[in-house]
Amino acid sequence: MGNINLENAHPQPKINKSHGIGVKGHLVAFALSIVLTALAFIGVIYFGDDRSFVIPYIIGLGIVQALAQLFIWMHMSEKGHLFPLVGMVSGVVVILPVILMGLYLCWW
Amino acid sequence: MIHDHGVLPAEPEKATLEGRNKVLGFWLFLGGETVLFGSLFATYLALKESFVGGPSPEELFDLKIVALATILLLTSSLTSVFGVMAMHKHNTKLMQLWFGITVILGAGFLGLEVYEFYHYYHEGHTLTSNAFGSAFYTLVGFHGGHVAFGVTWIALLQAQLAKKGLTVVTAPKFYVAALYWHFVDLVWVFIFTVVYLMGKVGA
Repeated sequence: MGNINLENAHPQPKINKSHGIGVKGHLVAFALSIVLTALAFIGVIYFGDDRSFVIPYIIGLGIVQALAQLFIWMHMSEKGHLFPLVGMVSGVVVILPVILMGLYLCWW
Repeated sequence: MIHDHGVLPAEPEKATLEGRNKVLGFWLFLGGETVLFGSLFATYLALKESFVGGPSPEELFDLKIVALATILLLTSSLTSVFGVMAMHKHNTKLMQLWFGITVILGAGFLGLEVYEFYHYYHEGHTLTSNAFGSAFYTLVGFHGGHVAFGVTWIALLQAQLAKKGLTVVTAPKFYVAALYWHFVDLVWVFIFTVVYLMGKVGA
């Protein structure tokens, strides 16, 4: 832990440049999350009878919100996030077939 | 160790190889967490209609509590973002404030969940009442466990920050805890969608 050399550390200015989302951007992202959540709740309350519409609709909203949070709040859109992306995508690639197969075996 | 504030770089969490490796390793862990929660979701989806002997999801769930819990967790995600931004400005006081609010909101979410589970228990919806109960408590309980862990973790980091100050050693810990917190919030998005909203739509 003692041999930290700041002079040879990562080139800072580059990272700073890609870090430009700011307070405003985060407030917009927060508002977007609230709106997407509200849309999902409203959809279920008013169109709950129409399952074939509502279920894809709320799942779609959930995926949009997840992507927004990954890329805005978890800094995935910044530079140097290729490996994090590989990590997350490989997780999804492993689990998505499992979920789909479970659904297929149980419900179709 | 660097204690001089003049030397601390703008993004102290990325200033050392150790810090950067911590962040990268944490992302790989989050990939694994995705698999964990994905398999719990798959189990829940398979068993959610097996509620013989207990109340159905439609009778059970109260969307008002879920909406409130969602807002608490979303807001706590925002305040943790503000905490990381304060860290980039080396403002320790503001960091303590924002992460403190994050911890309080997280604790509020847990309180709601405990109240909810207590209520369900008295309506005959338990871990052992039926397959729906087992799948529900395993999925939602695992998420609640993550929230409890996150709340404890961030609170302990705050104590360490108060003691040691912001350095290239403490900064990556906060950055990684904020990532964890966002991930917990992200999982909740799918829980309220797949468990609560789809449960309300009914069979």
